[in-house]
Amino acid sequence: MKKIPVWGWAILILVVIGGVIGGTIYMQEQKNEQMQNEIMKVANSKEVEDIILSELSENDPHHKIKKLKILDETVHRSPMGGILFEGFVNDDESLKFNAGVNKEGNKYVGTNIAPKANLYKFLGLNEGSANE
Amino acid sequence: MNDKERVEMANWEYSDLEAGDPVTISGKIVGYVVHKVDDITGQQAYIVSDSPLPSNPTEDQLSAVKQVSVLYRGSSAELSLDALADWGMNDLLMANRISANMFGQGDKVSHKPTPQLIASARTLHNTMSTFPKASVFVYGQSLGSMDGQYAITDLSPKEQKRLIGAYLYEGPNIFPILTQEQQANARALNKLNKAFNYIDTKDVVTMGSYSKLTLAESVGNKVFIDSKWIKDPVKQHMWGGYQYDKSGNIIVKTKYVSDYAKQVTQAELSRIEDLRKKMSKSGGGLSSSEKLLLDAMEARSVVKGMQLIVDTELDDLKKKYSNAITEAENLWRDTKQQAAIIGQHISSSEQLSALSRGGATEHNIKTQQVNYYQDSITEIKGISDDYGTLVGQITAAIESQVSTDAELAHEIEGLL
Repeated sequence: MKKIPVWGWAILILVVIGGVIGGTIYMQEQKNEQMQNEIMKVANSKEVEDIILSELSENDPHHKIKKLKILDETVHRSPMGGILFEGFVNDDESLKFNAGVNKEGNKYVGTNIAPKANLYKFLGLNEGSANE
Repeated sequence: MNDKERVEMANWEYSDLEAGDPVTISGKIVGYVVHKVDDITGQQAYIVSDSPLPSNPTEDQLSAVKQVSVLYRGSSAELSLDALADWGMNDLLMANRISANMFGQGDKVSHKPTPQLIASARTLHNTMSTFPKASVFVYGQSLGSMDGQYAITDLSPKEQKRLIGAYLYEGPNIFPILTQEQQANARALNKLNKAFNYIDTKDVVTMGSYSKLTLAESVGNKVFIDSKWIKDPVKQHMWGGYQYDKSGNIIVKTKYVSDYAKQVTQAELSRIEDLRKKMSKSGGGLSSSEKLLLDAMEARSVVKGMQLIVDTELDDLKKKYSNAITEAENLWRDTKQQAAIIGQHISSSEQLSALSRGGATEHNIKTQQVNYYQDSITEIKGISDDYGTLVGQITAAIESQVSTDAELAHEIEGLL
Protein backbone atom coordinates (compact mmCIF):
# COMPACT_ATOMS: atom_id res chain seq x y z
CA MET A 1 0.00 0.00 0.00
CA LYS A 2 1.23 3.45 -0.86
CA LYS A 3 2.28 5.50 2.13
CA ILE A 4 0.39 8.73 2.73
CA PRO A 5 2.89 11.60 2.39
CA VAL A 6 3.43 14.06 5.27
CA TRP A 7 1.50 16.83 3.52
CA GLY A 8 -1.33 14.37 3.14
CA TRP A 9 -1.47 13.90 6.90
CA ALA A 10 -1.21 17.64 7.40
CA ILE A 11 -4.20 18.26 5.12
CA LEU A 12 -6.15 15.48 6.81
CA ILE A 13 -5.48 16.94 10.27
CA LEU A 14 -6.38 20.43 9.05
CA VAL A 15 -9.64 19.12 7.60
CA VAL A 16 -10.50 17.38 10.87
CA ILE A 17 -9.64 20.47 12.96
CA GLY A 18 -11.57 22.68 10.54
CA GLY A 19 -14.52 20.32 10.79
CA VAL A 20 -14.49 20.36 14.58
CA ILE A 21 -14.24 24.16 14.74
CA GLY A 22 -16.89 24.60 12.07
CA GLY A 23 -19.15 22.11 13.79
CA THR A 24 -18.76 23.83 17.16
CA ILE A 25 -19.50 27.23 15.66
CA TYR A 26 -22.53 25.80 13.84
CA MET A 27 -23.85 24.18 17.04
CA GLN A 28 -23.27 27.39 18.98
CA GLU A 29 -25.11 29.40 16.35
CA GLN A 30 -27.99 26.95 16.39
CA LYS A 31 -28.12 27.27 20.14
CA ASN A 32 -27.96 31.06 20.00
CA GLU A 33 -30.74 31.14 17.44
CA GLN A 34 -32.85 28.84 19.58
CA MET A 35 -32.21 31.02 22.60
CA GLN A 36 -32.98 34.21 20.65
CA ASN A 37 -36.30 32.71 19.50
CA GLU A 38 -37.14 31.75 23.03
CA ILE A 39 -36.47 35.18 24.56
CA MET A 40 -38.36 36.84 21.71
CA LYS A 41 -41.35 34.65 22.52
CA VAL A 42 -41.09 35.65 26.19
CA ALA A 43 -40.83 39.36 25.34
CA ASN A 44 -43.95 39.16 23.18
CA SER A 45 -46.00 37.08 25.63
CA LYS A 46 -49.26 38.28 27.17
CA GLU A 47 -47.81 37.79 30.68
CA VAL A 48 -44.91 40.14 29.97
CA GLU A 49 -47.18 42.64 28.20
CA ASP A 50 -49.29 42.88 31.36
CA ILE A 51 -46.19 43.41 33.51
CA ILE A 52 -44.95 46.23 31.26
CA LEU A 53 -48.37 47.91 31.01
CA SER A 54 -48.75 47.87 34.77
CA GLU A 55 -45.28 49.33 35.44
CA LEU A 56 -45.58 51.95 32.69
CA SER A 57 -48.97 52.99 34.09
CA GLU A 58 -47.18 54.22 37.23
CA ASN A 59 -45.85 57.07 35.12
CA ASP A 60 -49.03 57.55 33.09
CA PRO A 61 -51.25 59.80 35.22
CA HIS A 62 -53.56 60.70 32.30
CA HIS A 63 -53.97 57.08 31.12
CA LYS A 64 -52.66 57.78 27.66
CA ILE A 65 -51.05 54.40 27.00
CA LYS A 66 -53.52 52.19 25.14
CA LYS A 67 -51.37 49.38 23.76
CA LEU A 68 -47.79 48.41 23.17
CA LYS A 69 -45.58 46.63 20.70
CA ILE A 70 -42.14 45.09 21.26
CA LEU A 71 -39.29 45.85 18.83
CA ASP A 72 -38.05 42.32 18.18
CA GLU A 73 -34.62 43.41 16.96
CA THR A 74 -33.88 45.01 20.34
CA VAL A 75 -34.47 41.89 22.45
CA HIS A 76 -31.22 40.82 24.09
CA ARG A 77 -29.96 39.09 27.21
CA SER A 78 -28.43 41.18 29.94
CA PRO A 79 -25.09 39.98 31.27
CA MET A 80 -26.56 40.66 34.73
CA GLY A 81 -29.45 38.24 34.17
CA GLY A 82 -32.81 38.42 32.43
CA ILE A 83 -33.58 40.09 29.12
CA LEU A 84 -33.86 43.70 27.99
CA PHE A 85 -35.64 45.23 25.02
CA GLU A 86 -37.47 48.27 23.66
CA GLY A 87 -40.95 48.82 22.36
CA PHE A 88 -43.40 51.58 21.53
CA VAL A 89 -46.96 52.46 22.49
CA ASN A 90 -50.17 53.36 20.64
CA ASP A 91 -48.77 52.31 17.23
CA ASP A 92 -46.48 55.36 17.28
CA GLU A 93 -42.84 54.38 16.81
CA SER A 94 -41.64 57.69 18.22
CA LEU A 95 -43.18 56.84 21.62
CA LYS A 96 -40.61 54.32 22.81
CA PHE A 97 -40.04 52.68 26.16
CA ASN A 98 -37.31 50.57 27.70
CA ALA A 99 -38.27 47.30 29.32
CA GLY A 100 -36.96 44.01 30.62
CA VAL A 101 -37.95 40.90 32.52
CA ASN A 102 -36.22 38.41 34.72
CA LYS A 103 -37.42 35.19 36.28
CA GLU A 104 -37.94 34.79 40.02
CA GLY A 105 -38.91 31.23 40.79
CA ASN A 106 -41.39 30.37 38.05
CA LYS A 107 -42.67 33.89 37.65
CA TYR A 108 -41.59 36.68 35.34
CA VAL A 109 -40.89 39.99 37.02
CA GLY A 110 -40.44 43.37 35.36
CA THR A 111 -37.10 45.16 35.46
CA ASN A 112 -35.72 48.38 33.95
CA ILE A 113 -39.12 49.50 32.63
CA ALA A 114 -39.27 53.22 31.80
CA PRO A 115 -40.65 55.56 29.15
CA LYS A 116 -37.95 57.06 26.90
CA ALA A 117 -37.65 60.86 26.69
CA ASN A 118 -40.30 61.34 23.99
CA LEU A 119 -42.89 59.11 25.60
CA TYR A 120 -42.12 60.80 28.91
CA LYS A 121 -43.08 64.16 27.36
CA PHE A 122 -46.14 62.63 25.71
CA LEU A 123 -47.33 61.35 29.08
CA GLY A 124 -47.20 64.93 30.35
CA LEU A 125 -44.64 64.15 33.01
CA ASN A 126 -42.38 67.13 32.36
CA GLU A 127 -45.12 69.63 33.17
CA GLY A 128 -44.32 71.63 36.24
CA SER A 129 -40.69 70.54 36.27
CA ALA A 130 -38.51 73.25 37.77
CA ASN A 131 -35.70 72.69 35.33
CA GLU A 132 -37.56 72.83 32.06
CA MET B 1 -31.96 51.41 48.17
CA ASN B 2 -31.54 47.71 48.85
CA ASP B 3 -29.25 45.30 46.98
CA LYS B 4 -31.95 44.28 44.53
CA GLU B 5 -32.69 47.89 43.62
CA ARG B 6 -28.98 48.59 43.15
CA VAL B 7 -28.67 45.66 40.77
CA GLU B 8 -31.62 47.06 38.77
CA MET B 9 -29.81 50.41 38.69
CA ALA B 10 -26.60 48.75 37.47
CA ASN B 11 -28.57 46.75 34.91
CA TRP B 12 -29.54 50.03 33.17
CA GLU B 13 -26.00 49.90 31.73
CA TYR B 14 -27.24 47.30 29.32
CA SER B 15 -30.33 49.18 28.12
CA ASP B 16 -30.08 51.50 25.16
CA LEU B 17 -30.43 54.97 26.66
CA GLU B 18 -30.15 58.50 25.25
CA ALA B 19 -29.80 61.83 27.03
CA GLY B 20 -33.16 62.77 28.53
CA ASP B 21 -34.39 59.21 29.04
CA PRO B 22 -35.77 58.52 32.52
CA VAL B 23 -34.28 55.73 34.60
CA THR B 24 -36.54 53.78 36.97
CA ILE B 25 -36.34 51.33 39.82
CA SER B 26 -39.40 49.09 40.18
CA GLY B 27 -41.17 51.43 37.77
CA LYS B 28 -40.51 54.54 39.87
CA ILE B 29 -38.45 57.26 38.16
CA VAL B 30 -35.22 57.80 40.08
CA GLY B 31 -33.16 59.75 37.55
CA TYR B 32 -32.59 61.00 34.03
CA VAL B 33 -29.73 60.30 31.64
CA VAL B 34 -27.83 63.56 31.22
CA HIS B 35 -24.90 62.24 29.22
CA LYS B 36 -23.91 59.16 27.29
CA VAL B 37 -20.22 58.28 27.00
CA ASP B 38 -19.16 56.11 24.07
CA ASP B 39 -15.53 56.57 23.10
CA ILE B 40 -12.85 54.86 21.00
CA THR B 41 -11.33 53.11 24.01
CA GLY B 42 -14.55 51.04 24.19
CA GLN B 43 -15.73 52.86 27.28
CA GLN B 44 -19.51 53.14 27.47
CA ALA B 45 -21.13 54.88 30.38
CA TYR B 46 -24.27 56.75 31.35
CA ILE B 47 -24.34 59.74 33.66
CA VAL B 48 -27.67 59.89 35.47
CA SER B 49 -28.86 62.85 37.55
CA ASP B 50 -31.70 62.89 40.05
CA SER B 51 -33.49 65.76 38.28
CA PRO B 52 -34.15 66.36 34.57
CA LEU B 53 -31.86 68.87 32.84
CA PRO B 54 -32.39 70.83 29.61
CA SER B 55 -29.94 70.11 26.79
CA ASN B 56 -27.92 73.25 27.55
CA PRO B 57 -28.03 73.55 31.33
CA THR B 58 -26.79 76.69 33.06
CA GLU B 59 -24.18 76.53 35.79
CA ASP B 60 -26.88 77.14 38.36
CA GLN B 61 -28.87 74.19 37.07
CA LEU B 62 -25.78 71.96 37.23
CA SER B 63 -25.01 73.10 40.76
CA ALA B 64 -28.59 72.36 41.80
CA VAL B 65 -28.18 68.65 41.04
CA LYS B 66 -27.90 66.83 44.35
CA GLN B 67 -27.15 63.32 43.19
CA VAL B 68 -25.52 61.75 40.14
CA SER B 69 -24.76 58.16 39.26
CA VAL B 70 -22.16 56.93 36.81
CA LEU B 71 -23.04 53.59 35.22
CA TYR B 72 -20.16 51.79 33.48
CA ARG B 73 -21.15 49.20 30.91
CA GLY B 74 -19.40 45.85 30.73
CA SER B 75 -18.40 43.87 27.67
CA SER B 76 -21.05 43.88 24.99
CA ALA B 77 -22.70 40.53 24.64
CA GLU B 78 -22.98 40.49 20.87
CA LEU B 79 -20.05 40.51 18.51
CA SER B 80 -19.73 44.09 17.40
CA LEU B 81 -16.99 46.66 17.06
CA ASP B 82 -17.52 47.54 20.71
CA ALA B 83 -17.16 43.93 21.73
CA LEU B 84 -13.98 43.69 19.72
CA ALA B 85 -12.62 46.81 21.38
CA ASP B 86 -13.66 45.45 24.78
CA TRP B 87 -12.35 41.94 24.44
CA GLY B 88 -9.43 42.55 22.16
CA MET B 89 -7.93 45.58 23.79
CA ASN B 90 -9.19 45.55 27.31
CA ASP B 91 -10.25 42.21 28.68
CA LEU B 92 -7.40 40.26 27.12
CA LEU B 93 -4.76 42.80 28.07
CA MET B 94 -6.12 43.02 31.59
CA ALA B 95 -6.50 39.27 31.87
CA ASN B 96 -2.86 38.90 30.93
CA ARG B 97 -1.74 41.47 33.49
CA ILE B 98 -3.97 40.21 36.25
CA SER B 99 -3.10 36.56 35.68
CA ALA B 100 0.60 37.40 35.57
CA ASN B 101 0.15 38.96 38.98
CA MET B 102 -1.73 35.91 40.22
CA PHE B 103 1.11 33.64 39.26
CA GLY B 104 3.80 35.84 40.71
CA GLN B 105 5.15 37.12 37.40
CA GLY B 106 3.91 40.61 37.94
CA ASP B 107 7.20 42.27 37.09
CA LYS B 108 7.33 40.72 33.63
CA VAL B 109 4.25 42.46 32.25
CA SER B 110 3.42 46.11 32.02
CA HIS B 111 1.52 47.51 34.98
CA LYS B 112 0.05 50.29 32.94
CA PRO B 113 -3.73 50.43 32.89
CA THR B 114 -5.52 50.09 29.55
CA PRO B 115 -6.69 53.26 27.77
CA GLN B 116 -10.27 52.41 28.73
CA LEU B 117 -9.49 52.42 32.44
CA ILE B 118 -7.82 55.82 32.14
CA ALA B 119 -10.79 57.12 30.13
CA SER B 120 -13.23 55.84 32.74
CA ALA B 121 -11.31 57.67 35.48
CA ARG B 122 -11.60 60.83 33.39
CA THR B 123 -15.36 60.31 33.12
CA LEU B 124 -15.72 60.22 36.90
CA HIS B 125 -13.45 63.27 37.40
CA ASN B 126 -15.48 65.19 34.80
CA THR B 127 -18.77 64.19 36.41
CA MET B 128 -17.52 65.44 39.78
CA SER B 129 -16.55 68.83 38.32
CA THR B 130 -19.65 69.20 36.11
CA PHE B 131 -21.96 68.69 39.10
CA PRO B 132 -19.98 70.45 41.83
CA LYS B 133 -22.56 69.99 44.59
CA ALA B 134 -23.74 66.47 43.85
CA SER B 135 -23.19 63.30 45.83
CA VAL B 136 -21.90 60.61 43.51
CA PHE B 137 -22.70 56.91 43.08
CA VAL B 138 -20.82 54.50 40.80
CA TYR B 139 -22.14 51.26 39.31
CA GLY B 140 -20.49 48.75 36.99
CA GLN B 141 -20.46 45.11 36.01
CA SER B 142 -17.79 42.89 34.48
CA LEU B 143 -15.47 45.16 32.49
CA GLY B 144 -17.60 48.02 33.81
CA SER B 145 -16.67 46.93 37.33
CA MET B 146 -13.00 47.26 36.39
CA ASP B 147 -13.71 50.74 35.01
CA GLY B 148 -15.45 51.64 38.25
CA GLN B 149 -12.71 50.13 40.41
CA TYR B 150 -10.08 52.14 38.58
CA ALA B 151 -12.08 55.38 38.50
CA ILE B 152 -12.79 55.49 42.24
CA THR B 153 -9.19 54.85 43.21
CA ASP B 154 -8.11 57.72 40.99
CA LEU B 155 -10.23 60.25 42.93
CA SER B 156 -8.52 62.99 44.93
CA PRO B 157 -9.21 63.04 48.69
CA LYS B 158 -11.63 65.91 48.12
CA GLU B 159 -13.49 64.01 45.39
CA GLN B 160 -13.49 60.85 47.49
CA LYS B 161 -15.58 62.64 50.10
CA ARG B 162 -18.34 63.19 47.57
CA LEU B 163 -18.42 59.54 46.57
CA ILE B 164 -21.26 58.02 48.57
CA GLY B 165 -21.17 54.50 47.24
CA ALA B 166 -19.66 52.36 44.50
CA TYR B 167 -21.38 49.06 43.66
CA LEU B 168 -19.26 46.87 41.41
CA TYR B 169 -20.33 43.46 40.20
CA GLU B 170 -18.32 40.50 38.94
CA GLY B 171 -15.21 42.24 37.73
CA PRO B 172 -11.69 40.88 38.00
CA ASN B 173 -9.56 42.35 40.78
CA ILE B 174 -7.52 45.25 39.46
CA PHE B 175 -5.82 46.08 42.75
CA PRO B 176 -2.44 44.64 41.67
CA ILE B 177 -2.11 46.95 38.67
CA LEU B 178 -2.79 50.17 40.61
CA THR B 179 -0.11 52.68 41.56
CA GLN B 180 0.85 52.89 45.23
CA GLU B 181 -1.16 56.05 45.60
CA GLN B 182 -4.24 54.46 44.06
CA GLN B 183 -3.81 51.41 46.28
CA ALA B 184 -3.73 53.68 49.31
CA ASN B 185 -6.94 55.33 48.06
CA ALA B 186 -8.55 51.91 47.67
CA ARG B 187 -7.65 51.00 51.25
CA ALA B 188 -9.11 54.29 52.48
CA LEU B 189 -12.35 53.70 50.59
CA ASN B 190 -12.63 50.14 51.92
CA LYS B 191 -12.15 51.38 55.46
CA LEU B 192 -14.99 53.84 54.99
CA ASN B 193 -17.17 51.06 53.53
CA LYS B 194 -17.85 53.21 50.50
CA ALA B 195 -17.24 50.61 47.84
CA PHE B 196 -18.58 47.08 47.52
CA ASN B 197 -17.11 44.55 45.14
CA TYR B 198 -19.60 41.72 44.52
CA ILE B 199 -17.86 38.53 43.47
CA ASP B 200 -19.70 35.54 42.09
CA THR B 201 -18.27 32.44 43.73
CA LYS B 202 -19.38 30.38 40.71
CA ASP B 203 -17.44 32.55 38.28
CA VAL B 204 -14.10 30.83 37.84
CA VAL B 205 -12.41 33.63 35.92
CA THR B 206 -13.29 36.37 38.39
CA MET B 207 -12.74 34.22 41.45
CA GLY B 208 -9.24 33.37 40.30
CA SER B 209 -8.10 36.95 40.51
CA TYR B 210 -9.29 37.09 44.12
CA SER B 211 -7.34 33.96 45.02
CA LYS B 212 -6.50 33.49 48.64
CA LEU B 213 -10.01 34.93 48.88
CA THR B 214 -10.24 36.95 52.03
CA LEU B 215 -6.54 37.72 52.02
CA ALA B 216 -6.19 39.36 48.62
CA GLU B 217 -6.50 43.12 48.68
CA SER B 218 -9.20 44.57 46.48
CA VAL B 219 -10.88 47.76 45.42
CA GLY B 220 -14.05 47.81 47.49
CA ASN B 221 -15.01 45.41 50.25
CA LYS B 222 -15.37 41.93 48.85
CA VAL B 223 -18.84 40.39 48.96
CA PHE B 224 -18.95 36.74 47.96
CA ILE B 225 -22.37 36.13 46.49
CA ASP B 226 -24.26 32.95 45.81
CA SER B 227 -25.58 33.31 42.28
CA LYS B 228 -28.06 31.16 40.41
CA TRP B 229 -26.06 30.69 37.27
CA ILE B 230 -23.01 28.80 36.18
CA LYS B 231 -20.60 30.88 34.16
CA ASP B 232 -19.89 28.30 31.56
CA PRO B 233 -19.78 29.57 27.98
CA VAL B 234 -21.09 26.24 26.73
CA LYS B 235 -23.78 25.66 29.35
CA GLN B 236 -25.27 29.13 29.05
CA HIS B 237 -28.31 29.55 31.19
CA MET B 238 -31.27 31.48 29.85
CA TRP B 239 -32.33 33.03 33.10
CA GLY B 240 -30.29 33.56 36.12
CA GLY B 241 -28.31 36.03 38.01
CA TYR B 242 -28.49 37.14 41.58
CA GLN B 243 -30.61 35.71 44.36
CA TYR B 244 -32.24 37.84 47.04
CA ASP B 245 -33.92 37.27 50.38
CA LYS B 246 -37.39 38.65 51.06
CA SER B 247 -36.01 42.05 52.11
CA GLY B 248 -34.17 42.41 48.79
CA ASN B 249 -30.72 41.64 50.22
CA ILE B 250 -28.39 39.81 47.88
CA ILE B 251 -27.71 36.26 49.08
CA VAL B 252 -24.16 36.19 50.37
CA LYS B 253 -22.15 33.06 51.15
CA THR B 254 -22.97 32.27 54.80
CA LYS B 255 -19.30 32.30 55.72
CA TYR B 256 -19.00 35.95 54.76
CA VAL B 257 -22.41 37.36 55.68
CA SER B 258 -21.49 38.75 59.09
CA ASP B 259 -18.65 40.76 57.54
CA TYR B 260 -20.99 42.06 54.86
CA ALA B 261 -23.71 42.97 57.35
CA LYS B 262 -21.14 44.80 59.46
CA GLN B 263 -19.81 46.77 56.47
CA VAL B 264 -23.26 47.68 55.16
CA THR B 265 -24.37 48.81 58.61
CA GLN B 266 -21.15 50.79 59.12
CA ALA B 267 -21.59 52.48 55.76
CA GLU B 268 -25.14 53.53 56.65
CA LEU B 269 -24.16 54.67 60.11
CA SER B 270 -21.38 56.87 58.77
CA ARG B 271 -23.78 58.45 56.27
CA ILE B 272 -26.22 59.14 59.10
CA GLU B 273 -23.31 60.60 61.08
CA ASP B 274 -22.51 62.93 58.16
CA LEU B 275 -26.15 63.94 58.06
CA ARG B 276 -26.09 64.61 61.80
CA LYS B 277 -23.07 66.90 61.35
CA LYS B 278 -24.70 68.68 58.44
CA MET B 279 -27.95 69.19 60.35
CA SER B 280 -26.12 70.36 63.46
CA LYS B 281 -24.32 73.02 61.43
CA SER B 282 -27.44 74.42 59.81
CA GLY B 283 -29.99 76.37 61.79
CA GLY B 284 -28.42 76.33 65.26
CA GLY B 285 -28.03 72.75 66.30
CA LEU B 286 -30.34 69.77 66.19
CA SER B 287 -34.00 70.14 67.01
CA SER B 288 -35.50 67.39 69.13
CA SER B 289 -37.41 65.98 66.16
CA GLU B 290 -34.24 65.90 64.05
CA LYS B 291 -32.44 64.08 66.83
CA LEU B 292 -35.28 61.59 67.06
CA LEU B 293 -35.15 61.03 63.32
CA LEU B 294 -31.40 60.39 63.29
CA ASP B 295 -31.64 58.03 66.26
CA ALA B 296 -34.44 56.13 64.57
CA MET B 297 -32.39 55.82 61.38
CA GLU B 298 -29.41 54.51 63.32
CA ALA B 299 -31.55 51.92 65.09
CA ARG B 300 -33.04 50.89 61.77
CA SER B 301 -29.60 50.31 60.20
CA VAL B 302 -28.48 48.15 63.09
CA VAL B 303 -31.64 46.03 63.12
CA LYS B 304 -31.44 45.62 59.34
CA GLY B 305 -27.87 44.37 59.67
CA MET B 306 -28.92 41.80 62.25
CA GLN B 307 -31.86 40.71 60.12
CA LEU B 308 -29.50 40.16 57.19
CA ILE B 309 -27.40 37.76 59.25
CA VAL B 310 -30.42 35.91 60.63
CA ASP B 311 -32.01 35.59 57.18
CA THR B 312 -28.86 34.16 55.62
CA GLU B 313 -28.41 31.70 58.46
CA LEU B 314 -32.08 30.82 58.11
CA ASP B 315 -31.72 30.00 54.43
CA ASP B 316 -28.69 27.90 55.19
CA LEU B 317 -30.43 26.05 58.02
CA LYS B 318 -33.49 25.45 55.87
CA LYS B 319 -31.31 23.77 53.27
CA LYS B 320 -29.52 21.68 55.89
CA TYR B 321 -32.74 20.73 57.65
CA SER B 322 -34.63 19.83 54.51
CA ASN B 323 -31.74 17.49 53.67
CA ALA B 324 -31.90 16.06 57.17
CA ILE B 325 -35.66 15.60 56.88
CA THR B 326 -35.22 13.69 53.62
CA GLU B 327 -32.56 11.59 55.28
CA ALA B 328 -34.81 10.77 58.23
CA GLU B 329 -37.59 9.79 55.85
CA ASN B 330 -35.22 7.64 53.81
CA LEU B 331 -33.91 6.01 56.96
CA TRP B 332 -37.41 5.00 58.03
CA ARG B 333 -38.21 3.70 54.53
CA ASP B 334 -34.97 1.68 54.43
CA THR B 335 -35.66 0.30 57.91
CA LYS B 336 -39.05 -0.92 56.80
CA GLN B 337 -37.60 -2.44 53.63
CA GLN B 338 -34.92 -4.27 55.60
CA ALA B 339 -37.56 -5.55 58.01
CA ALA B 340 -39.65 -6.74 55.07
CA ILE B 341 -36.70 -8.71 53.67
CA ILE B 342 -35.70 -10.24 56.99
CA GLY B 343 -39.24 -10.98 58.12
CA GLN B 344 -40.54 -12.30 54.82
CA HIS B 345 -42.85 -14.78 56.49
CA ILE B 346 -44.60 -12.45 58.91
CA SER B 347 -47.21 -9.78 58.22
CA SER B 348 -46.25 -6.12 57.93
CA SER B 349 -47.88 -5.26 61.26
CA GLU B 350 -45.82 -8.00 62.89
CA GLN B 351 -42.71 -6.53 61.25
CA LEU B 352 -43.52 -3.11 62.70
CA SER B 353 -44.09 -4.44 66.19
CA ALA B 354 -40.84 -6.37 65.99
CA LEU B 355 -39.07 -3.16 65.00
CA SER B 356 -40.68 -1.21 67.81
CA ARG B 357 -39.54 -3.80 70.36
CA GLY B 358 -36.03 -2.89 69.26
CA GLY B 359 -36.82 0.83 69.68
CA ALA B 360 -37.21 1.51 65.94
CA THR B 361 -40.58 3.20 65.57
CA GLU B 362 -41.70 5.69 62.96
CA HIS B 363 -41.96 8.24 65.76
CA ASN B 364 -38.36 7.77 66.91
CA ILE B 365 -36.74 7.55 63.51
CA LYS B 366 -38.79 9.97 61.44
CA THR B 367 -41.46 12.04 63.18
CA GLN B 368 -39.36 13.16 66.13
CA GLN B 369 -36.48 14.29 63.93
CA VAL B 370 -38.71 16.07 61.45
CA ASN B 371 -40.59 17.85 64.23
CA TYR B 372 -37.36 18.95 65.87
CA TYR B 373 -36.04 20.45 62.64
CA GLN B 374 -39.33 22.12 61.81
CA ASP B 375 -39.60 23.65 65.29
CA SER B 376 -36.09 25.10 64.95
CA ILE B 377 -36.87 26.59 61.56
CA THR B 378 -40.10 28.11 62.89
CA GLU B 379 -38.25 29.61 65.82
CA ILE B 380 -35.56 31.27 63.70
CA LYS B 381 -38.15 32.40 61.19
CA GLY B 382 -39.98 34.04 64.10
CA ILE B 383 -36.85 35.98 65.03
CA SER B 384 -36.35 37.09 61.42
CA ASP B 385 -40.01 38.15 61.18
CA ASP B 386 -39.69 40.13 64.42
CA TYR B 387 -36.71 41.98 62.98
CA GLY B 388 -38.66 42.57 59.78
CA THR B 389 -41.62 44.00 61.68
CA LEU B 390 -39.31 46.22 63.70
CA VAL B 391 -37.61 47.56 60.56
CA GLY B 392 -41.06 48.16 59.05
CA GLN B 393 -42.26 50.05 62.12
CA ILE B 394 -39.18 52.25 62.32
CA THR B 395 -39.35 52.94 58.58
CA ALA B 396 -43.02 53.92 58.85
CA ALA B 397 -42.24 56.23 61.78
CA ILE B 398 -39.39 57.88 59.84
CA GLU B 399 -41.54 58.24 56.74
CA SER B 400 -44.38 59.89 58.61
CA GLN B 401 -41.89 62.25 60.23
CA VAL B 402 -40.41 63.37 56.89
CA SER B 403 -43.69 63.33 54.96
CA THR B 404 -44.24 67.01 55.70
CA ASP B 405 -40.64 68.05 55.00
CA ALA B 406 -39.55 67.59 51.37
CA GLU B 407 -36.02 68.86 52.01
CA LEU B 408 -35.49 66.39 54.85
CA ALA B 409 -37.03 63.60 52.78
CA HIS B 410 -34.53 64.30 50.00
CA GLU B 411 -31.60 64.26 52.44
CA ILE B 412 -32.37 60.76 53.66
CA GLU B 413 -33.58 59.41 50.32
CA GLY B 414 -30.84 56.92 49.60
CA LEU B 415 -30.81 55.72 53.20
CA LEU B 416 -34.27 54.21 53.45
